[in-house]
Amino acid sequence: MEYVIETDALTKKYGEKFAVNKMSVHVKKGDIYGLIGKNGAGKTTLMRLILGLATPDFGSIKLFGSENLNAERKKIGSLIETPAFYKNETAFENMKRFSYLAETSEDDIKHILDLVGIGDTGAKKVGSFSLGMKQRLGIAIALLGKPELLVLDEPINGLDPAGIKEMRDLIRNLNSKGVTFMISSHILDELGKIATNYGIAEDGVLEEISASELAEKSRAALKITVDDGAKAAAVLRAEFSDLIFNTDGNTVDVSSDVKDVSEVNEKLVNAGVRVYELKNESVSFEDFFIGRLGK
Amino acid sequence: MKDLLKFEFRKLKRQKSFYVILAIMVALVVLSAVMSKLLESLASEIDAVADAMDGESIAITGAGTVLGVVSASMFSTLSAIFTAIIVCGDYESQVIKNVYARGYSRESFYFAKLIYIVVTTSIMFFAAVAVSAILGAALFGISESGGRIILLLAIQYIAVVAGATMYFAISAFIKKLGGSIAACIIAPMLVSLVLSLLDSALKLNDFTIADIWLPSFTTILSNIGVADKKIALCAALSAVYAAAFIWAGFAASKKSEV
Repeated sequence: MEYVIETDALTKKYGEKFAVNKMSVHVKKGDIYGLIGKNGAGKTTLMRLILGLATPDFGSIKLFGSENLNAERKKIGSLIETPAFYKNETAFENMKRFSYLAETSEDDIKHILDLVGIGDTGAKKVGSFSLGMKQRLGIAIALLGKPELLVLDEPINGLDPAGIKEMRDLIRNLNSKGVTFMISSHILDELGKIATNYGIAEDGVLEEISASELAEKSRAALKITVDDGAKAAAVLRAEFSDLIFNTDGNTVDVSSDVKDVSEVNEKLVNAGVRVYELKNESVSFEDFFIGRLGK
Repeated sequence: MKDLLKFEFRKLKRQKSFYVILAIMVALVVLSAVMSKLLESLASEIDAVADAMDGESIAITGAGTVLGVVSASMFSTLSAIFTAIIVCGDYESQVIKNVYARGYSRESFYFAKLIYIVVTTSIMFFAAVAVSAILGAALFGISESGGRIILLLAIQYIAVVAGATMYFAISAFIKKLGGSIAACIIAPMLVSLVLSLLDSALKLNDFTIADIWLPSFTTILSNIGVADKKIALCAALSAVYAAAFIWAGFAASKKSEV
């Protein structure tokens, strides 16, 4: 299968710390790949490696099935960290300048600016734009040249709720026309509405999961009400090493798959924990990841 | 590469810093010529001034005005400031992300920027020479051989371009505007100082070590009577310096992470 982005054991170290540690990413054409993780997990570093902004220490990258990365990067639009532009120029002038790097006509520039909602900024210099407007310009610059792949790092940063919805609709619209996305975001529920696949980054290590697998895991949640939450957590950690849960007072929320609920109950009771309630409950997307990343 | 050159040169129309620096340079050239004329008038009217010059008349000539324009008009400082602005601007604003992420190699971006710097430095050089030639001819008259003046200006031009590559390399290494401007101004002065100290210590006959350092070339070449051997040395060393600084700047930018 040809992947739009494929990395194999990609590694990047800064000093003694692995920013990216043997990450293997697989993004198929048409995917909306959600990259999730805590601050410092390696999401942005991974994107920077893919885009050639940093050089990996080890591992390989293929883009559109090719190792000729610079040639293939011409098909990619991106927004990494904060948007970059010329502050003393207007939005149109910025787009015009960057259009030399990605052949785009003036009509297309105007269309893109309208699409992202800053088509009416006129002579206003970008330096005086609000955070949301700057973010929209960053996305507009990424859209120059009709890219086949968009790599967006926190694209809805600074956007109001209406802007977030517009961005979600834009992503869906472009995706329906065949554009592939790799998006990182902290707003998990938003990502959950559009992503088809996920890469969960933690301490430089990546685990991939499809949206359907994630939905399955999210439904398998178990809520246990006990008399001593800390003791119950200790028992679960000792007896079920791959169980993912978090404790809130005397309630234990298990977000990973539980094969045998009765076994969990038995272990707790045998350890002297009083179990008042065992309930199957679906978890929100956000709660699943907090449970997953919070362990 | 063509796309990158268009990207760089589009800036020229809107690059306020370029026009401000060009205007300052022209203003300094005019001021320098006017001051020279005033000095000449004072020397002929006030004996004290002539005596202070050990009885030698101050022969300020049109040729001297033209040949001395680069060394007398803070050209190097202004060139350093402009080069630092051009190089560091894209690093500090992170615009460089948008270039590399579109698949343009660091090599091609480096050379596109270098070409832009050479062209704009050339514009500044020729503007300064043109203004000083007009003023020199009008205020003092030019009686020396035009061929000799043109030769010396041509070698000065090579030295000026080599100087621009030095500022480019320093800025590409430091990547911060303030630090780059400071380094571009101070580092060459420090090297000059060290070489002068070496001259004092070694006391070599017929050879001045400080004369092989790039920033001294425009001063050496501002003297119409300079020896042919020195002209050839300045020309050859300017080319060597240019090659060395281009390589150094390229090495500094090649592995840079954004």
